[in-house]
Amino acid sequence: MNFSKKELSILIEIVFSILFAIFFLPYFYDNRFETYDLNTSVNKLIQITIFSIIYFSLAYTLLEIFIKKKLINDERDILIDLKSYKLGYILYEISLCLFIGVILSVAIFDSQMYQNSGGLVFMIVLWLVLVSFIKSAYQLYLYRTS
Amino acid sequence: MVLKNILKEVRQKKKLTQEELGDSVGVSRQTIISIETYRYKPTLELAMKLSMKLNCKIDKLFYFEKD
Repeated sequence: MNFSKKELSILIEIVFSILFAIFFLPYFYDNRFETYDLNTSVNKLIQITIFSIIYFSLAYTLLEIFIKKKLINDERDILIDLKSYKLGYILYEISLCLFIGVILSVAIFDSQMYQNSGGLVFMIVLWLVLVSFIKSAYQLYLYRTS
Repeated sequence: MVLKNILKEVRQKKKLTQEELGDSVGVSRQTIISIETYRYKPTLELAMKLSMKLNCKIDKLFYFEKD
């Protein structure tokens, strides 16, 4: 399979979503019944930040080394970006409705998971990763088919 | 009505590669490939640029074909 530089940069984002889900999502899942405070979660936040900086620096440096051609952002790129960001925007809107629904229904369902910040943080992080993955995958699909 | 083009034929006649043509009109090689394979319809601005670069009338380069 022959990938262009733009497609490879999208693949880098997709791989990041997958790695994030593998390495960091279990932490949020394990703590879904806990209450977060800054002292307990600051280490994880630092880990995530350092991991992201190293990953993206390394990935884009390698991309620049192996594919030297300058990235051209033309009208087709703009169209594909618009389509994929539109999908991402719709998914975020749905998530906002779900999020409000969950908060309102805590009293009704009396769910232990959502009575503390851990459950809500897990739900937000999970949805962010999922939406980011879907948006990038759709963007890659559009690049390969249009 | 389907929008078709003779971009590939004209480009090959002018002995230009997809990359050279793309660079000359400010788009990527992938965009030229997509136009040639009818997967992407260019904007009027890009169509005009291609027409000028290939020295071919725009209505000859791009035309409608009945389904």
